[in-house]
Amino acid sequence: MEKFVVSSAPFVHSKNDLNKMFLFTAIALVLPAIFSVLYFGLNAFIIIAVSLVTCLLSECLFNLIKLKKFKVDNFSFFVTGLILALSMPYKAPFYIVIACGFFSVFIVKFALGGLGINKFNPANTGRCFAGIILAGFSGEFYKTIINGEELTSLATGGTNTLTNLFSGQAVGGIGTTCIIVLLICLVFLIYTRVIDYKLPLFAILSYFVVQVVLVGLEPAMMNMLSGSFLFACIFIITDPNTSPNTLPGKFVYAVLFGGLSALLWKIGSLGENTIFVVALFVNMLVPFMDKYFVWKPLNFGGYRNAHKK
Amino acid sequence: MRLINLRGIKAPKIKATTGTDITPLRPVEFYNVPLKLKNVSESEPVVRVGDSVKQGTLIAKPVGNFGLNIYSPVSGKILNIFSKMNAGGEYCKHILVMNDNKDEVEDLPQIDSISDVTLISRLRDAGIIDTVSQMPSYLKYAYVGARSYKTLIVLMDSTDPNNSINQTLAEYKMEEVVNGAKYFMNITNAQFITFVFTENNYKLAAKLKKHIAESKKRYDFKIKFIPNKYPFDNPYILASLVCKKKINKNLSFLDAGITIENAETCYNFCRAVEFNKPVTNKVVTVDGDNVTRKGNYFVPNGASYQNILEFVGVEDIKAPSRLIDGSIMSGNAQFNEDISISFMTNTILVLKFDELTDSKEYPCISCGKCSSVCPVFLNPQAIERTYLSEEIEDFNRLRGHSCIDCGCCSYVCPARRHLSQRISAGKFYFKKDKGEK
Repeated sequence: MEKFVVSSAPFVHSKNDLNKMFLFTAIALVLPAIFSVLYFGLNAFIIIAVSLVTCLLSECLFNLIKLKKFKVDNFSFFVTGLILALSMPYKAPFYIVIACGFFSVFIVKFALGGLGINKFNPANTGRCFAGIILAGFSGEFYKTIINGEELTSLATGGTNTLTNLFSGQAVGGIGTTCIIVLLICLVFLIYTRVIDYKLPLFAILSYFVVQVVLVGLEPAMMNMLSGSFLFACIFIITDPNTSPNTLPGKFVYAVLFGGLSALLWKIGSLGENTIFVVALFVNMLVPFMDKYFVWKPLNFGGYRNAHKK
Repeated sequence: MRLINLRGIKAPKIKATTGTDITPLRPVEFYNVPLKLKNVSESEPVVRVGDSVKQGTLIAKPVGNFGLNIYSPVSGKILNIFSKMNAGGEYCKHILVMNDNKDEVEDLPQIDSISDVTLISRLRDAGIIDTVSQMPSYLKYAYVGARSYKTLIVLMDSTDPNNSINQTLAEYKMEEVVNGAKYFMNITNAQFITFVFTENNYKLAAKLKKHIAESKKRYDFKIKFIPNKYPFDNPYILASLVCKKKINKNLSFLDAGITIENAETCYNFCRAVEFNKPVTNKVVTVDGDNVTRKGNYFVPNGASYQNILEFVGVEDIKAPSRLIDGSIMSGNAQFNEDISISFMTNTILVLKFDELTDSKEYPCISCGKCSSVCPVFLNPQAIERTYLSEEIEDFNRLRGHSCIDCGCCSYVCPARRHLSQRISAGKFYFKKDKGEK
């Protein structure tokens, strides 16, 4: 024996790696991106390309200011950029995409702490920023997003039929229109253990229950599968950093998300923004849930009631 | 709704050491017998340099009431009594015995009659150590009234990724193990023995049932299965799994009436009672991807790691590797192979150096995987944060002191945070701070 390496236990780690998680999420996002380009053509391609380049440059810019190095750390810019692009309607002008890409990555992600410390989901916050604040800058964008020429609001029924949902002609952002593609992503991410299956499960179930109460069984089944809701269930609320840590917290978070989005879709006037605004709202409650909706630890020989002294 | 069965992790590496009988280690020339073990106080030598001893001669006695009798592993001559580092990293007295290859054996006196008093004194005299609670076995029964134990759990298996001592003993020395368990039942107030197996050992359990059915003396026993997940053979978790009792500061094992023994202690106890043999050997599992002949070995007390490695063979000698005393999840890395093994050593691992395990630490992304596997329902990443910012009150509020050091959180962490290491450090340092106040 020449020499022994000394380190502390455990000496083995699971194969799940942070970079691998980003990579798998990116792979899962590429599929709806390809589909959107096939279906919407050049418009979708411009949105995706602009969004990715903006996110990449924003991260590099931040690193240049902070670390004096022009570089990126990992795939996270790719994930943020694609989620942002895929949730945009296909008539979104490129300057709005640039503005909210910069807002997402530079301000929400890096200026508020960076990877793992930011309290808000960058892509979702950027989407809300675009849908609420920037929507007024472009009349066409505003129309698609709130009133909707192609985007008929789901609550009023209309263009959503079962064949439309599966062939990709449903309403929603460019990446959210084909259910089959999204379901494949969901299965892939659950299989690779990147996301926790409980979050989409609880969210979809609660959404379904509230929809049944509000509009009846058949429209509820249609609405559950369509639009941005499934996309948000797969890619937005499952973001590890902005979702609760423990099972009770996850349950409350997902049920609140599903129930509120169903309710606001019916009675609110936010249109296509509903899902993302609700996701932002439940996102704000996560620190609170992490503190109060947790398991009570077993007390194995510890200090009993030490905090009360 | 809180299910402990869903916690823990699947063992990362399948035990490669089961299925073969225990091999005795080839005799070597020198044995360095350590007189201090992990939690046990140091014993005092009763021999002098130059004395000749037989295998089984008492060479060290406890100073107070809380020590361990230590017996010579071989017949030979005492060469030296000196201070040296033991496997726990502490300096303590060692007795250097030189082997004269005469194989003279000295036994304990014959036991008069089997009663609880004689059995407990035999536990003490034979120097039997309990590797579950890591203290001399008689301390559990001698001073506190062994009759207050109503549940006797015998671990016939371990959920540890490497340790296969109990399975192997249960498979190849079943008669001794079962008889030892019977003697423990005589000591305690238990009406029956609860044998605990993991879920992949149904065959062994069936064999045990058959064995007891064929034996002349019939007695009551139960067989329980626990999930084959890693820290479930921890005594605290075993108590809550098997007996549905939560052991904590206000409810000790004694209050709950639970005593947990494993197959190895039963085997040693049986040999001490029936054959009058003191404990001079330890069964050790040698495992790891750099070992040629993996398996279980009878290792005399005081043999060094080097003796064992020479006997089992190491594949790649020149490459940097790890030598670990303990399992892959919770062992101690050793820097020196010239250290004696002791009765606390269950497993010795020789691993090839793996880049992955020393990779860079990323920021925590709060994914919650650590809290989803913690068998104590802690929130490791929150506790780690309180350790790093030295918030002692928050560390106590989140019950950082309840951590059982299983290492599951560090194992699953995708960001490779050193969670369990930091919580252990917090347990150590923050306790000290509390004492000063």
